[in-house]
Amino acid sequence: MSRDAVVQRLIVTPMLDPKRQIGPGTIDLRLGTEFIETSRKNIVVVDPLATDEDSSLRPEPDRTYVPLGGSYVLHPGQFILGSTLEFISLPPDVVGQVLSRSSWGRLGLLVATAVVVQPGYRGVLTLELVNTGDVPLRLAPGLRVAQLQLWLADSPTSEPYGAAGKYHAPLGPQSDRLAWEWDELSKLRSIASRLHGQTLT
Amino acid sequence: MENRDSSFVIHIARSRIVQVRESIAEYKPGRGSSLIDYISALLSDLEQAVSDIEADITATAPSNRLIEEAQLRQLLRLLPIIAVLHRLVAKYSRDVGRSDLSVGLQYLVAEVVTDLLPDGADPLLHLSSHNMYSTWALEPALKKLSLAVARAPRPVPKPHPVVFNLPGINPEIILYSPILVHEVGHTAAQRSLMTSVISQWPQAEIDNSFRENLAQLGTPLTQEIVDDWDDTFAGWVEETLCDALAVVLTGPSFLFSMCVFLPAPSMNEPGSHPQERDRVKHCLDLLDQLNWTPFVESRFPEVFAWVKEISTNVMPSKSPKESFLREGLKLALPAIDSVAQANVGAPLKATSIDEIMIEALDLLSEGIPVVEVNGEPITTWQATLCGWSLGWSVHGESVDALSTAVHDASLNRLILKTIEYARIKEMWVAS
Repeated sequence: MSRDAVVQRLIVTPMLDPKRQIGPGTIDLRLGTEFIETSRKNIVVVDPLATDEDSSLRPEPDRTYVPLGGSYVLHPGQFILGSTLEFISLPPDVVGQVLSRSSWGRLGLLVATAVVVQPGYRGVLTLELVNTGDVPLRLAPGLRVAQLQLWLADSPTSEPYGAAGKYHAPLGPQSDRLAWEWDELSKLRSIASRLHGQTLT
Repeated sequence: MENRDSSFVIHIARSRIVQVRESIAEYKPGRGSSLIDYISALLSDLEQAVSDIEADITATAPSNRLIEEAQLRQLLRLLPIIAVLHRLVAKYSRDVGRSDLSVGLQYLVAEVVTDLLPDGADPLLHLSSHNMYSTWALEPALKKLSLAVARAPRPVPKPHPVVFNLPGINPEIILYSPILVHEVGHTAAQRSLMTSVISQWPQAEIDNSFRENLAQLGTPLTQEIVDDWDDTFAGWVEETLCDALAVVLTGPSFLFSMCVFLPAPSMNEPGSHPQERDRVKHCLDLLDQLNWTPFVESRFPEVFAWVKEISTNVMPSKSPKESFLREGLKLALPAIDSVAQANVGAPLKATSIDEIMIEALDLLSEGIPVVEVNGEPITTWQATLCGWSLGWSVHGESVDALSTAVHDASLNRLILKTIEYARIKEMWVAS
């Protein structure tokens, strides 16, 4: 298979049960095996824009790996990051949107994500999981928790969303990347100091 | 000596038993929990032993000094056993059901156990402070402890706990996994395979080599020398058997990982392992027997030329002991290779590997984990070999590329994900 053929293909893998997962307009996605939780530490504030110099302000996330057949208990009010089991690769002319399945919403489980999946995206999709209910929920890798809707663009994008290098596509949930916006924070600090004689930190 | 000494030791023993028991009270069953279950049972045996001695002391007539001393000695004998249990719990209880290692690695370990250990094993994945792989089958040590507590040892239920020591930093270098296979081979060897090898090797020829080389010593022969040669030879045979098991199960991946991971050779007296050049030669010869030579030569030409040169440039033996060890090993090789081939659950085959790799590498080179090839789930060892091939081509197709590939974290993670996906698909279809 040529590289072009791979790039042009819509890939959703592993597809454990195509008959059940592929619907008229959506593809059901399953919960993956890796979770990120941010444990509570003895700090005053979490500052997502902290730089490496201020890394002590960023709690190191704990990663938990649960094999198929295992479970993860999400307590009321708890927020964790999970991911889809499936690895997705979108062609440059396809856009995706991820929605949570209503059956889980009715149990109080919010499965939110960065809703739009850009053309050319490759990797598993990070899922933000919050238990808004009053009872702990036992989540199991492999459960169908989200749906992927796909649209065909009029033309392929000239700048597909892609990884910086070979095989760097996300294979598990990704924590926030706000610190990458350091240049914008510098601007804000500069503006603040000019207006008020203050700095943000 | 008064009963007061015994009652003090009884109090110490009971407190220490409670201390260990409380530390395992909250553990959740999981992978490796058979160790905790057994320790819990041993603690009950210890509690009973202490109570028995206490009852004996109470029933004994006062001022019988000799009996009192014997009872105190019985009690004191139990304290080191409790200390060993404390060490085992302190070191390994956090490894029970640990969930901080990737699912791909968990599946790989389970698969190696299935492939090499027909009686199974309950693995404890432990991160070691040493940058090494090793395994420790706990059953013999646990049985010994039990025998020290009670007249009849408490049997260790199957599957027996086995500690898998992984490097504390970077435990998930999947390209090194064939080294782990070699280490699990030691458990297989000690359980039954060494007996099979010994029953098949040419005993008379090995004995002749032993006698002839001993005669070259020129020093008086002692039982210590004979035992030393015997023990070292058994060690070399076992190491070679483990190499053979890893080659049969993982194919050329073991050769590549051995080339990168092998420790520096011993320059003086023969060490616990055969010379690395002899090990490389054995691996190449066995790979050739298994029809891997065309694959390695065509896909990894520089590496093939390098290992060929290493294997032919063998250093001469430096002593009669080394001379015997190498001659004896050469005589035992057919038995070693035969036992290895007969005892690996799902050996990696060279036939159709090229076709599998072409299809798999198309996706892997784009960072996409592979689940199936030709409608069949990709096997763990096909995936690992793909990892070596991809690393080789991405990092320069030179001998140094092997070392760079091993430390490519993204590549290792991609192969681990491939293994995870393929095993999940298999389990789903089979359920």
